[in-house]
Amino acid sequence: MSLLEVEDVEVRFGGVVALANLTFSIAAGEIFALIGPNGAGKTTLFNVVSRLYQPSQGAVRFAGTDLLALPAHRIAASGIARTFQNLALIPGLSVLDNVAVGAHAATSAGFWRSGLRLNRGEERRVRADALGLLDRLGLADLAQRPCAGLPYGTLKRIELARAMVARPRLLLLDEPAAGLTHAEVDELGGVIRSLRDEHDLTVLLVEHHMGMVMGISDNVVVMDLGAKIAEGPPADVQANPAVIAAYLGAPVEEV
Amino acid sequence: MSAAGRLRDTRSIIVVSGVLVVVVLALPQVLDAFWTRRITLWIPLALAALGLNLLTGYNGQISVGHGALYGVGAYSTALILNEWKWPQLAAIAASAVICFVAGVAVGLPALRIKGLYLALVTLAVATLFPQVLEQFSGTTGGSAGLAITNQEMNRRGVLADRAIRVEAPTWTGLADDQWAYYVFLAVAALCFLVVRNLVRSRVGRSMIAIRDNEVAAEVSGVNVAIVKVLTFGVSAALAGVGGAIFAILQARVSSGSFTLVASLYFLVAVVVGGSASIAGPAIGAVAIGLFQDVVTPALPESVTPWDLNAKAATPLILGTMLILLMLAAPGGIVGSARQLRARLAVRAQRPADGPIPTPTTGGTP
Ligand SMILES: Nc1ncnc2c1ncn2[C@@H]1O[C@H](COP(=O)(O)OP(=O)(O)OP(=O)(O)O)[C@@H](O)[C@H]1O
Ligand SMILES: [Mg+2]
Repeated sequence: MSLLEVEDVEVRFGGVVALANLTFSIAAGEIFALIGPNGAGKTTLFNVVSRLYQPSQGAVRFAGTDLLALPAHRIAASGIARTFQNLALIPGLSVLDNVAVGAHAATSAGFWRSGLRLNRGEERRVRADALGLLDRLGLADLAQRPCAGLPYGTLKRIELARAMVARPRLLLLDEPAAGLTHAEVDELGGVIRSLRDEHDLTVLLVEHHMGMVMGISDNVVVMDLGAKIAEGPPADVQANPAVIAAYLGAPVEEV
Repeated sequence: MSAAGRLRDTRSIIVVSGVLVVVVLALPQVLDAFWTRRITLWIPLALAALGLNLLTGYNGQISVGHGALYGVGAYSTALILNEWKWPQLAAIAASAVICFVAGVAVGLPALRIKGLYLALVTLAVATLFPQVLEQFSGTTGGSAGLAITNQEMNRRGVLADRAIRVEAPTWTGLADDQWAYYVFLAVAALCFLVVRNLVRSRVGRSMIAIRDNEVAAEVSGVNVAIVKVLTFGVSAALAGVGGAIFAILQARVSSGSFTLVASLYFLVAVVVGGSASIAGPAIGAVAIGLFQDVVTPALPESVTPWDLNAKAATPLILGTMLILLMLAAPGGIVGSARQLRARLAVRAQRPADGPIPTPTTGGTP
């Protein structure tokens, strides 16, 4: 059964059509890749699913519910978490607290309970979860450090921990491998796969690193100029002439 | 930092706070009645700064209207005590609730506007408040002021209006001034504790997340609008508690105390003490208190040959200091202390650890 359904979605910015009648669906448990050249509309789609952008037409359903009926801050609670292409961490918080922010939707202590410290049990759980994820991603040593000043690849992993701490059903990753070394990319691919296996996760992956996309995804959608130009298992998509043309004639592996 | 270093750090924090608590508690025993009254008046300033710091330091919403919210607390208390003769602590609590509502009302525009535009709305509130007081001078006393009084039997056995006091119960053996200091210090300590709990919680994390990256906060599930408005309310409630205590200590309220200048003093206290820190507002209030009560009186009435009145120029002096401080030490006193501690820690570790380790306890950016 499909977990996320994107149906006939259109997004315009003035004269620019960022998404044009985009339709696809993701089955539960898949690693689903969304690829395409710069400006194809991949991040725009993430922002539609996050409810940061309002599509001018179309529907987005998650586990049968209409996402477009929810405000942005309710998306996390419905089971969707994401990372950002250009990092959206909170420099004023420690690494651990950054991850804890991700647990917001899964916890409930408000002003009253927090001010009177009636939140201790919940706080303990959040910290344990956050530390567990940091440990899982090899970042436990950094828990108390401020985020500011850490290397780019580390920050990307902190964002991944923040997204995972809410125990989402669908994880949206926007270029998680950008800025990583070859060895780190391979490791990240393994991490994404095992997170999927351990947590019954479904992953929507946007990535320019073709080695990783072809290596770990079950299905791929290729976009160009806001429209879908190909869809299918990695091997099929790779051989598709339209895809090769979109990537300026270069063989897909080398991009 | 090594475990031993952290232990040493924790221990020195405990020692320093212990000494501070003793000093703060001993002050009314050491100082005379005049100075006890002066330093008691620093408490409402610290509370207003605490509230403003929660809003501006932790949540990133700028307000130059807290002088007015402080005023709402002061007038609420004055009217409640005069009209209904409630116990003083009950009047303070009621003023906090009233100011919470007022704060939510002032904070509502913040949902649509941000940054400097919000500052402009609060500026309007700060400017209009004294004029509104003048407008309703029948109730508020306007610039002439409103005395807070009780009917009491005087020596000749006649009922007469008498300015309210904070009366020390006889079992304490304390003078009224000393008692007032301890009671309001306890109220302030409670408020600081609640704010500390708040900023170290799920709510505090979302406040800071909103300040630093609103989209990240929203995507993590934070209802940005609700957190902003409630933070404004809590911030105003704290300023209101300060205003209420101020009114009780003065036994009088007048519109001149709640002008834009009051708002600026709170802002200076936050910046001088160190924004987004818990001790900052208290330290800033002490710094401003010292400035007002020690430095200002020492300034000459007129500086020849220009015949400048240095006393009248204190807001100007304070403003200049604020700007210089923001340039020299943007983290305020708390930020500078953190930086110094980090630097000392680095120096202390150097012989044992060989190469210079990077400081991990440095001031927040
Ligand atoms: N907020 C916005 N305002 C105006 N135009 C936008 C906005 N966001 C995206 N666009 C435009 O929409 C198109 C798609 O952009 P998008 O960021 O979704 O591409 P992308 O596939 O993520 O590209 P990249 O691989 O470079 O990240 C681009 O033409 C972009 O300029
Ligand atoms: Mg993108």
